[in-house]
Amino acid sequence: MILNANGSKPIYIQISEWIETEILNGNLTKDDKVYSQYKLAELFTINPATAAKGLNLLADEGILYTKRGLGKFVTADALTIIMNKRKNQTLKGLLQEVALEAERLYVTENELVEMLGQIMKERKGDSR
Amino acid sequence: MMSLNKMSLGVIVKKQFQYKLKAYASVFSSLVVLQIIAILFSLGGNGSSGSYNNNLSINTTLYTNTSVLILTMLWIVIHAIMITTKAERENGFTFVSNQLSNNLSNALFLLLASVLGGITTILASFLLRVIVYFFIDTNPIIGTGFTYQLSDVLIGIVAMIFYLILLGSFGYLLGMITQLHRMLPVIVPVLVIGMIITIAQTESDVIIRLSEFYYQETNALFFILKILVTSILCFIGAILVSHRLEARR
Amino acid sequence: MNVVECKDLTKKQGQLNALNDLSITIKENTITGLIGRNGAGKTTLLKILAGYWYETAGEVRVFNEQPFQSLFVSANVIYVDDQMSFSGRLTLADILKEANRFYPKWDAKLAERLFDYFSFQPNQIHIHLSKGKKSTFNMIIGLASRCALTMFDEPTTGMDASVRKDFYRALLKDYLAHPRTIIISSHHLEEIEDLLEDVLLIEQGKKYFHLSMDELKEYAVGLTGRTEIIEQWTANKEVIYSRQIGKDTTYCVAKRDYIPLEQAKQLGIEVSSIAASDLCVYLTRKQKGGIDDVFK
Repeated sequence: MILNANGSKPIYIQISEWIETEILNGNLTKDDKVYSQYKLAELFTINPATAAKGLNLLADEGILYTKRGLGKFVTADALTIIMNKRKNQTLKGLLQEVALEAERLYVTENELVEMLGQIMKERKGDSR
Repeated sequence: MMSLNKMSLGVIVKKQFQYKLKAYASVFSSLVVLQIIAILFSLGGNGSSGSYNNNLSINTTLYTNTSVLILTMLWIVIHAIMITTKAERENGFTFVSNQLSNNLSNALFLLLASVLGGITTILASFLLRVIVYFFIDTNPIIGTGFTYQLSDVLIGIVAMIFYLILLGSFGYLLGMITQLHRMLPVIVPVLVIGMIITIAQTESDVIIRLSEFYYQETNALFFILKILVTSILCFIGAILVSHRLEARR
Repeated sequence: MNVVECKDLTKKQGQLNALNDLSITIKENTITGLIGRNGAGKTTLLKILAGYWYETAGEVRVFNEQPFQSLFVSANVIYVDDQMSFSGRLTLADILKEANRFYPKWDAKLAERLFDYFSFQPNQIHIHLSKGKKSTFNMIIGLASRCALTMFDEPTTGMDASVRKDFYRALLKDYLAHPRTIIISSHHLEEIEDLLEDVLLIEQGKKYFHLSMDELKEYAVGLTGRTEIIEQWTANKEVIYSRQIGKDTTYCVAKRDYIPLEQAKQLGIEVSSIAASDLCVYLTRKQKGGIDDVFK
């Protein structure tokens, strides 16, 4: 992954999201050790303090736990926490923007739901 | 806790001196070229006279090493001034340095230059004799001491070395003073030359007395002492002058 | 421990105060970006920290010592810029050898590898190098010396894009392996911001702010929306920059404090983040308006 330096999000959030995605994808599971701040810094050419901030954010949210002197590891609840968080924050945020754009274009709720249904159907078709 | 480098002044001065030996290598090559040129000039003879009397003609040609001497003295003054210039001072500050270590390493360098200059000047005068003897003049040579005792040679060398030290340190101080303000490189030479002219015109014997102070000293120990004290004063002056000089301007 | 401490540091240059009551502290083992416009005093500050220049007033301490004329500071600090001068008698290989003698922690292996990687020739002379090559070579000296305080003043002058990238990565990798305090001054914040832990923005010799990179990123937001709504919204807030776009749309950059962003979004105000480098440009504008006013 290449970080988007000018992007909308601070780097440490991008780092934490990257680790979350790794967990969602199943690349990291319960009690797996995640990259250290130094490894992350090296990986993405970022300051290790920034990487540490991303890791601490996840620790604060209960997605990672710390073993003294050993590093940070994935908690048992990690997957659930991430899913909930993404539903409540990311997805909701996206939908808010969709709603706003729909308002501007005078698209009704029914139309919107229909469009969404269509897209989901297509995606299922793709993945089949 | 971070580990910090601790280096003594002596160590830095030594390193800087070694660095300057490499950086200023051209100073020594210019000395060689200069002395060769001086010898070539001297081969023409510095003065000649002839007399004719009763079928007997006498032609005398005077060969002296004066040009070697003078050019070498000029050489040390010029280089002493040159190493105080901005460009050279900046080179001195590329690596670990402060003004004191930079001045001390320059002093060491000028000392070495004086020693080499002193030795080569005296040896060059011997070379001159040898060339004249074997290749140029087949006529008898009336030497003011054509043959020398080793002790005389050594005294000559030592004397020359100390003259060069004196001139080098004086040039260094002068050069350093001119670095203080950007107008000084213009003003100082004017002042110095002006002073010399004024002294010459007023027939004041300041310069003569001043040079006698060093030149006429027959006691070797006093001679060396006088020059050493003067040179050390010059360098202390240069260090004081440069103390507030900013590097890498 | 603080590596650098300045208190009311002032440096007069002629009539001008190149530094004006500057008070900063820089923590050990951080990478700090020194940002500011031309003539803001970046180089002056760095040269004082390196011990080359003396302060006119105020206090400055580097490793708890006054840097001017200090051999201790000189032995632990390296200042790299494009004006570094080496005697014309020395080849590049000679210079590396000399640097090795002067700096106890010099990493000859690293120097040699970088030297080869950037395809330098051992017998080249420094003054004959191109601008970019000079900068690249100076950077090698800066990295390999492993000085506890390493300062790069506009290190990428003349470097092409690929060398810049290599430089930033080399800097970071070496910093990770051998943590030390690094200050980089640059006009290109966008290029170095990922590397930085802190940003020090100075303007006309004064500190504008000293923030962590993350704080800086969240310092301000961009708001785009109908002019009247924007004006109403930012009436008593700190507006850093504002510009009319289109007929009745305004884009403005405001300090993030106390702005309820969710509410703003509801009102149809588009909230965008603002790049740190743009923010610094907006903050350090000399007056309101801009280049457009010159052509009016």
